[in-house]
Formats: sequence, structure tokens, C-alpha cells
Amino acid sequence: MSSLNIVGRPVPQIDSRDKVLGRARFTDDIRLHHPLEVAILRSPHASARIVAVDTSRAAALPGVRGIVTGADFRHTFGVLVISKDEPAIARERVRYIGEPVAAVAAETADLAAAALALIEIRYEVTDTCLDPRAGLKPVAEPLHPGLGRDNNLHKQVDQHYGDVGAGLAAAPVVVEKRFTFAPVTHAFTEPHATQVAVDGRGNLTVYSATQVPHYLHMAMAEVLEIPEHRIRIIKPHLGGGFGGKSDPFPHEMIAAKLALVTGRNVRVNFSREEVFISNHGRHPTTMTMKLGYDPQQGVTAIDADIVIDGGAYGSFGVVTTYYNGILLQGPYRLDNLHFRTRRVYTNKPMCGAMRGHGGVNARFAAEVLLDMALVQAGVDPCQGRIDMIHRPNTLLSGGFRITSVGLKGGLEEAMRRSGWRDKYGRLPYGKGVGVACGFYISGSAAHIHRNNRPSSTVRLTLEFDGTVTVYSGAADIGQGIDTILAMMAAEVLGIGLDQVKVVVADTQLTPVDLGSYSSRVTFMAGNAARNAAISMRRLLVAAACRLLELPEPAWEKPEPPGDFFRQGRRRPDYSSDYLGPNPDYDSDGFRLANGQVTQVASGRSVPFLEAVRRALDEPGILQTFGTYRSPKLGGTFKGAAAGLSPSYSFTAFIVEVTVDPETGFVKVDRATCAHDCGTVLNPLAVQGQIEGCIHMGLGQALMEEVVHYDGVVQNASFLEYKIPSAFEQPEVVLVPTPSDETEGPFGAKEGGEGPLAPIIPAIANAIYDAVGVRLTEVPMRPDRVLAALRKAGAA
Amino acid sequence: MTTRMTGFDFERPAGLPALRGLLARLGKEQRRFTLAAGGTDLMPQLKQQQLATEVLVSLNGVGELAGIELASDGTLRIGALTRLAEVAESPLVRERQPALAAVAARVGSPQIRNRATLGGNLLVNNRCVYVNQSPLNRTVHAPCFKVDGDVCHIVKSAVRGKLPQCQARFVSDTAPVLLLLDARLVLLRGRGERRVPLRRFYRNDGMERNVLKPGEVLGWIEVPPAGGLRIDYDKLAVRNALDFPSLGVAVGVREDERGEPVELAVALTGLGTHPLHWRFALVGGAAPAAVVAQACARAEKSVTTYQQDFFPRDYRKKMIGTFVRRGLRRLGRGAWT
Repeated sequence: MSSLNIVGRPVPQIDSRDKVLGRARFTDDIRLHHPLEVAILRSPHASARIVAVDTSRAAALPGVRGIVTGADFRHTFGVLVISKDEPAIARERVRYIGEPVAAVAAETADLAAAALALIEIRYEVTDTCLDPRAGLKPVAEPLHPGLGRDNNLHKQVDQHYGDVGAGLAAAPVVVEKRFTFAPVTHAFTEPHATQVAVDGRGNLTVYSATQVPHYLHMAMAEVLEIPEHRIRIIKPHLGGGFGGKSDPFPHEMIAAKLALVTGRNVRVNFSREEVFISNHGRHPTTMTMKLGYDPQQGVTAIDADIVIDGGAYGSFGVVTTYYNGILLQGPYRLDNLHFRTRRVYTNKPMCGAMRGHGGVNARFAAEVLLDMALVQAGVDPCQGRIDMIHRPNTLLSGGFRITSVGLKGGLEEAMRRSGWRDKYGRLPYGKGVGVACGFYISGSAAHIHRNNRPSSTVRLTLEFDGTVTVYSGAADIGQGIDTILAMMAAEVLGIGLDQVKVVVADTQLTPVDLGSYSSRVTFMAGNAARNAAISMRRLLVAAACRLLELPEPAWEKPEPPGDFFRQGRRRPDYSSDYLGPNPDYDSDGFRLANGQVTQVASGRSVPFLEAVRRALDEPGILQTFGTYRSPKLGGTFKGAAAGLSPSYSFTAFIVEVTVDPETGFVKVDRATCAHDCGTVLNPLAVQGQIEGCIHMGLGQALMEEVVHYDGVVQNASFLEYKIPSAFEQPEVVLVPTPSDETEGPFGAKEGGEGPLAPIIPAIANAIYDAVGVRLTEVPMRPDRVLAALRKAGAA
Repeated sequence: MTTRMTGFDFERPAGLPALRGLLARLGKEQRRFTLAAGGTDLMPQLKQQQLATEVLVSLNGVGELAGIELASDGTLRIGALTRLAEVAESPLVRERQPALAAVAARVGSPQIRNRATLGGNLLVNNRCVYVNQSPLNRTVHAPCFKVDGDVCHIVKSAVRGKLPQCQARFVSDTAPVLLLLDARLVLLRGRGERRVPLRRFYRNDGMERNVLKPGEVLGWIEVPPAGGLRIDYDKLAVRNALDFPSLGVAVGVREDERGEPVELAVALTGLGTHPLHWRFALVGGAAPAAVVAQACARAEKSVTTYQQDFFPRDYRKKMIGTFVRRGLRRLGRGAWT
């Protein structure tokens, strides 16, 4: 591969200027023609039967145009095919405080609010289940009787790899602890919002703050019982998601239904409280974990028993249930693993996917236990970890295909840059350093909806004026995929970013991408964009050959895929619809750069625009497409697909803290991060993602907690839900962590989620180095630190 | 659904005479009005429908009540409408009353301090986990006394009208410092005014919070010369910005002309319904360390705390002594701790 022009350079996001100047239009900024305002009536009961609903007084209010209740929706929905258990509006019973029970569309927001007050709903309050432990015992009335259980268990996963008993028995060091994790939520900036435009033929255009336009498209058609072709989903600029917008939501169904019922455009947006009570945040978790360690072999076994509190509905919970266990298979060699995870329904807002989905809490437990084991064994916590990191090109017993791993070098460099050897165990009382590692998927290899289509498809057009347009269904939620798409096209076609435009996340105009979740988008949509551009490049080279009266290159067929671990970076397979993962494209003897298409050997060239115009002569339009498909991975056992990814990122954090032994306050002074995301496509974007992970991890580690009282969220505001301020953000040092990845676009892997998990246990381990106590309750609030110190007799 | 504020008239009198006239008229018409200065505390309450008003009166046109003057006797006369940022940055305040400038800089965030006023901070509404909530949340718990309901969720045996009927906690950062400084409040009423020492201003109740009468307006805060008193203030808050104090401790040491300590003073905020303060003489042979221990014990014993904050009640109480001792160390009196 010749040198790169754009990939690897720090590029500001292509929409950052518009966002900073307030020009970017978010969902609620869109001005439809005379929209009706939607207000949603929410249940004040955590668990109740709906005995009667009377909307007649509200309907009689002048200016009220439409009212919907549970009776207007026959189908429930959910992002996972296996747990479509959520109604758009509760019918027969409510399962959490804040659940929609009716909705009004009216000429003004005040009228809509006034109408809500006139809706009469008679409830018969029933027993609540707020504690997942209680929900595991038989209950009089399960939340979801359709599951046929006598309790509130939603999903149990019990998996064995290797022989845990033997692994633990053979280990010279065995450590065990019980951990608890408070619920945390995404706390993105932009509240949920949806606007729906309806035309005279009854077609809906849905503008929504969503991470998953494609899943919303399908779910909405099913819930509204209309053909998919009548629905167009557009995701405008989006102010943060972190998993909190990665499900189809009731308010989206409600708005669309009200648009259909009234024949009018409608608008709904959330208050911050509504965001909190819609939640879908990280599951509150209790887990007991046991870890065996042998200095010669590393971790010999992990045995974990995990209970996660799912709240009222399924969301991504089945995946969370798996991820809590299976993501323990990295970043270290581990042959013997057993876990049992049980997700329990409770009468609280549902939990779902949140940045680092399912891997964060279990990672904390494993890294704290590992730290204890290493300390007991007298092994340096950094060096001990380095010795156990997966080697590149390894197939794990659970079926994970580990391709590139750059963590060993990265952690060694982090040790140097952080001064680990001078600091660990040597700082004065109250100051400490800690380390932790993690790994994460770069996209899920398996589709949620089983089909044979690619994971991501990109269409590319090239106009007579030289404009390249990338069409992709990918949802930029701030992570910067719009910029990545443009970078892919610009790099391959040898043009500037300014020449590339993106049309994105509009189901009428853009081919399907499955959405922004599981850190899949840069990897998959990036590869698809790259392939679309490679096909376009071939058309331009062919046109240049005609202008230069040269024979077209042979476009040799690639050698068949050889190594299971290294399928990328081969010649593109132009004979197929799928060029392959991350194909090399410039072995045809041509170079596209500086506005020229040049035959390298002869130095003869034609201007880029002339090649474009020549290429347009016969077809009149230049259009190509590119796709990405994950290779076939994994075993055939039940649950084998969970956690499979075409590639994995690896992360290490070394964190320095100051613990105030009088107050228990923990200040994170410095975070040194080695994150192996393969090729750094855009250093600015990666830096932003890692700093964001640190900030979010800091919040969960030290202060964030959704407080429920009798099932109601008590701190549904940014004053009382404590997100760290800029004061709390530590100095951040990023160390280069290169790895030899072949599958991701230009060798890239994910960088948006992986760095979140290890920062939290790194803080815990640094607290131990500072003051000698192990915190097992997260968040590690000052009062808990102080209590631990008192218990240890140190304060 | 975003919350909107509707259903009230808006008045913005230009100047003190216009304000006096307006208040007289509103009194005569018996209309329920609310005064707004910076509005940083008020707006969320209006949005959450914690208080209902018929007329919202903006004080921002009353220029007479903004600004800082030095009287001939060394007293600082600070208009109630002076923004906290101005108090924090004023060379006059920094020179004469550095502790006041410092505490003003600890309130909220830079954006809030640019808007919020010193008077507003002294009058900031008491907060409770059952009150500062949305209508939906308050419906779930049943509305309490403070929002015209029938119950106190904190002290179930509380009786409406019998103080303390409400345990909503006091959260002004500036009050404890101004208490130690013997500040006086100038309250305007009708065409007249009266002076009330700050130490007699607050009441032991989360609803009937102070002695301000209907129609009375806080005009000025008068801060006499510190007279050898040096004060340190620190607050317990999980973040270094934005948060109200879970506990705020002002510690003062008064020194005579020779630099000898003669008095220890402690004031608390964030716990209980109103600020508390104590003074302890350091003359007459008592060892300062013993006085400090006595002060901490007194403070810890006197305050009432409930589980209504980010931090557990026991922890907040435990931190009183810690904060007193740390304040003394910053004042150069670490030997007493």
C-alpha cells in the first residue's frame, strides 16, 4: 500500500463547524408545517392493572386532535427478535413508573398537557417487584406471564468452557469477592425527540434521534401494521446516544400513530426526566466472582455468578446477559470459564445497552480480583498482565477469533510513560497507581435479524463536477462516522475531503446499515465505503486508460482466502459483489492523487475530472456500491454467536489517584491509556472517544447512580444525577498502540467503547495502591472509601 | 414533553420607586407574586411547578439595588442584586472581606454566578428530595407540605403549621460566612426599611424559612469590618462545580491587635433547615485544641440531618469536625487540630 493522504491525519469532524455555530439541525430543530404537539401520560404506579381508561373529556377539549391508548396497538416490539415484549402504550397493566398509558396530539403543547390532565385512568395497584433477588423466587404475578415462569427471571445463561473446578484446584492463588454495581444511565446531551411528517398518500417521514434507523423502520411497520415502504426514517444530527437511542422507542410509535390517526404532522420531545425514566441504561448488577491465578500460567479459571436487574422490559437484555460472562474471555488467556448470568424483570425503567455493553461491570470484578491475585503472588500488576495477554491470531475456546493484538507493546509503553516502576508501591500514603486492561468487540458478526444480506452497504456516486457522494444508512451519533465515510472515499480516490459529500441515515436514500451499536460502524460501514470507492476507482482507471490509449490493467483475481485470521489486504475480487475485507487496491499500477490519474510506470496521467467525464460517456451516471460481510465465525453450541466479532480492540489504563484519607475523596490525577484500535484513522476522533470514555468511566467509578425510591427515579436531572464536571477530568496521556490488523478498513478497529471498561477497575486498583483498601461497591463514593478505611483501621 | 412556564403576568419595574409602587399595588389587589433576581434558583421551581404565582416581578430593572459601596465606617454595603461574579471579583470585597469574595466564587458554576445574585443566594429556597421533583414524581410520593400537600415524607409525625413543619435543607453557601461576619440585612417595605441581623433572619423551618414579611424586599447586605476575623469556607460536594453544599463549613479565628487568637467561630450550612453558628472565646486559659474539640462536638450534636442528599446523613455529620479542622489548618492553626 502506498502512503496515505488522509487516513491517519487529525481531521475535524466534517459537521463540527455547523455544530459549534449552531447551524446543525437536530431532530427537534426541524420545522414541519403546523405540527401537532404530542404529550404522553405516564403511569404513577410501578405495578398496576389498568381497569378503565376514559379519554372522553380530553377528546372534548378544543384543539385536541388525536388521542391514543394501549388499545390502539396490537403488537409489542423490542430491538431483539427474541424479546419483543414492550408495548408502545401499556394495555391491561403497567410495569414501571413513567410507562406511557396514553398520548395526546393537540394544536399546542399547553393544550396537550391540559388534555393529559383530563384523561381518567383507573388502576388497581398490584404487588411490585423492585429487587431482582426477590424476583428469582416465585411471585404471585410475574411481570411477563407469557414466559411461563412462576418468577420474574427473564433470561438465564449458564456456560462452561474448559474445567473450572480443575483450574481453581490447581491454582496457588484463589481470590473471591462479591461486587455490586449501581444503575447508571447514558446521560447524553440531546433528549429523545421525534417528528413525523405525513403526506396525502399516508406516507410517513419520521425524523428521529435514533442510533438504529433500520431497526426503527422495521419495528414501526410492524407496530403500526403498515407496509415498510410507507415509512421513511431520517436521523438528523444527533446529540449523543451511548446506547440510549439504540432501541425503537414507544414515543416513536406513538408519534407515528398519531400522525396516521390525525393526518397531521406531529412533534414529540422529551424532558430530561422523561429521558431518565425511559432509561435503557446499564443494568444494576450483583456478582460473585472467583478467580484462580498461577504465576506460571496466568489466570487458571474464572467462575462468576451474576444477577442483573433488567427493569420492566427486555431491550438488549439477552445480549447483556451473555456479554457479562463471555467478554471475560479476553484480553488474557483463559481456558476455564464458567458463568451463570440471570436477568430479572423488575418494576423499574428498563435497562439495556450502554457504552461498553455488558462488559463493564464484569471487567471491573475480574480486574480487581486479578490485581488481588497478582499482589498475593508478588507479581507486578503490569508485568503480570502483559504476560497473559492473548497472542495475535488465536482462536479462543469460546470461538472468538482474535486477529491483531497490540496491547503488549502498548502497555509496556504506558508503563514507561506513566513512570509505573517508580510509582507502583512507592508513592506516599494517599497516592497510588493502578492498572487494568480490557477488550471489546468491533461490531457483532451475527445479525440481530437473521438474513444473508451484508452488515453494511454503501452507495457511491461521482458527478460530472467531480463531487463524490457517499450514501450510507450509518447513524452518526457523534462518533464521527460521517467523517470516516468521507475519509474512506477521499483516500481511495485521491481527492480532498472537501470534494466528498455524505448522504446518511435516510432509509429512502441510503442503503442499509444496521445501526450504531456494538462498535460496528467504523469497522463495517468504513469497509463498505472503502469498497464502494475502490470500485469507483476502477472505473476511473479504466477511463484514464481509454484516454491514454493504454490497455486496462488485468484486474487480477485475488488469491483464495488462505489464513483464517488474515483475510484482508488481498487484491480486491472484482469478479464478485464483495471485494473482500479491507482489500488492497493500488497494485494495478495506477495512482490517484493531486487531481491526476497517473500510470506509475510511465508517469503518464490525465486530470481526474477528465477521467470522470470520460467514464460518464457511456453510462451517463457513475454509481458503485460496496459492502462488508463478517467472515463465518464461531461454534455451533447454543449462544455461540454472542460476542463474535470480526476483530477485537484491546485497552490498558494506568491511573494515578490521590485519596484523601480524611474524607474518602478520590481524585484521579492522570490516566495513561494504551488503546489498540489498529490503524488510527483519525487521531482527533480517537482522542475524543478515549477522553469521553475516561469521563464516562470516571462518573460510574466515583459518583453516578440512578436512585430509585419505591420504583420512581429520584434524581432525574443533571443537578442530582452526578456527572463529573470538567474539574474532575484528569490529565490524559495517550500512548501509541499499533497492531497489525488486516480486516478493518485500513487496519482500523473500534475505539469508542473498549476504553470505557478498564478505567473503572484501574481507579479501584490505584485506590488500593494509595490506601490499601479494596472497593467492591461501585460507585466508589467518598463515604464508601472512608467506611472501607475505617473497617481496615486506617482512619 | 418539555415543561413550559405559563399562567402568570410579568412585571419589570424600572427603579426602586417603581418597585415600591408595584408592590403596594399588588398588595392591595391581593395578588400572589414572586420576586425574581437572577432566577437561577427560581426558574427550575417554576418549571417543576413547585410554586405557583400570579405575577412574576423581575428585579433586574432596579439598578439601585445592585453594586458595592464602602461606607465611612468601613462597612461594605452590597446591593442584594449584585451578581455573585461581581462579589467574587470586586477589588473592594477582595481587600476588605476576602472570605466573602472566596465563598461567592464557590456557588454554582461560572454561568450561574454571572446571573445569580448575593441576595438570591441568601434567600435560596430550601431543598428536599421530595420537593425538588417533577409533578409526576410528587404524585407518586403524594405531595408534601411544601408543595401544598398533607404530609412530610422526612418526618412523618410533622404537623403543618407547627415549626419545624418541613425539613427541607438550607443550601446557601454565602450565609455561613456572612453570619460569622455579623452581616445585617436591610429589608425594604412600603416606603420604609428595617435592619435585621442575619443571625436573627432565618427560622427553623424549610417552608417559613425567614422573617421576611409579605411584600418585603431584601435591599442591601451590610457587612461591617471584619475586626481581626479571618474566615475559611469549604463545602462538601461530590463535584467541584454546580452542586449545592451537602455540608458547608465556615471557620473563623478572630485575632487581636497583637495577632493573638481571641475567638473561634463556626457556621454550618447544608444540614438542617437553617444555618447554625457558634462562637467560642479563646481567652481565659482554655487550650485552643480543647475549644476546637468542644466546637466540633457541639456542632455535631446540634445539627439535624436526614437522608435527603447524595451523601448519607452519618457521613455528612462526620465530616463537620473534619471540615472544621481542615479549615483551621488553612488558617494556619493546624496546631489546634
